[in-house]
Amino acid sequence: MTELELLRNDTHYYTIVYRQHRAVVYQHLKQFTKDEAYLADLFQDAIIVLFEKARDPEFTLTCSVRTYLIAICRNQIFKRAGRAPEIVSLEGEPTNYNDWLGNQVEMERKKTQLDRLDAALREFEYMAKKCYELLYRFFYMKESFELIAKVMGYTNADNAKNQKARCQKKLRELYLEEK
Amino acid sequence: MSAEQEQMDQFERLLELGFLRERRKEMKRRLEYEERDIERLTSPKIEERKGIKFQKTTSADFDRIKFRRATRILEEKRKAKIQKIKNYMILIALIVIVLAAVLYYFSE
Repeated sequence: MTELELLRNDTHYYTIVYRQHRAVVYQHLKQFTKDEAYLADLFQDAIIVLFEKARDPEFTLTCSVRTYLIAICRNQIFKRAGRAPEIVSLEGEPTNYNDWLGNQVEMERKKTQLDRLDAALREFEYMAKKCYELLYRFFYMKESFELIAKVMGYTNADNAKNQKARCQKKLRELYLEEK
Repeated sequence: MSAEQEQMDQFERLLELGFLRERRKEMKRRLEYEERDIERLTSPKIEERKGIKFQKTTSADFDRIKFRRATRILEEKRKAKIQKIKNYMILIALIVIVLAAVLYYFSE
């Protein structure tokens, strides 16, 4: 099994990737900065980018995981310093992490809304446990409706989908009440 | 698209972002723990603590996924089903053996 496949199938494999490539990536990045805390922050973000990308079945890697991680870190250094180019290509592998960054920016912009949603979700977890589990499985664990239906006892995927819509509506009402 | 549908879509996006933020935070926390652990291993210092002398914390303690993965649950269910069938087969085989022994005893 390749590292990418392991990342796809094992939810905790990213910690092994972190330990495996940390030393070499740090060595490479020390030409930019000697600040270990900054390096750690960069590398942790790069691991999260890789993990999220690996979840996408259409994502393929033409270079090694290590090369990819280094490229993401370098991109981040340029981005954080406000310098061009944003996209660094290593061994022909374009490491566009703009979607990850886009989500991050959107999260910062919607911080107050998200904090309110968090409060609503905490309440929802106690109020409607099964509904919360369904939403958690779908959004957090990225499980398909088919799997959710099987594991939560719904007759089929469509039924689970309808139930998700109902749960979402219920949560929205709670969220609006939180205002 | 109706206004209500649009609001629902916006809420869905917010929900998606909310869970994504939670997952990123969780991963970051876990990776920070890994970093501290590596640092402790590479530059060990004598840690003197009052009260609790030894407290073991493993990286597994940081697994905070609230529900078990569906694939794992289904696999466990499948294994339990196979085990149940095996148990029934053993039980039936034992009953047959006992019956055969009883029949043999009375036929003597």
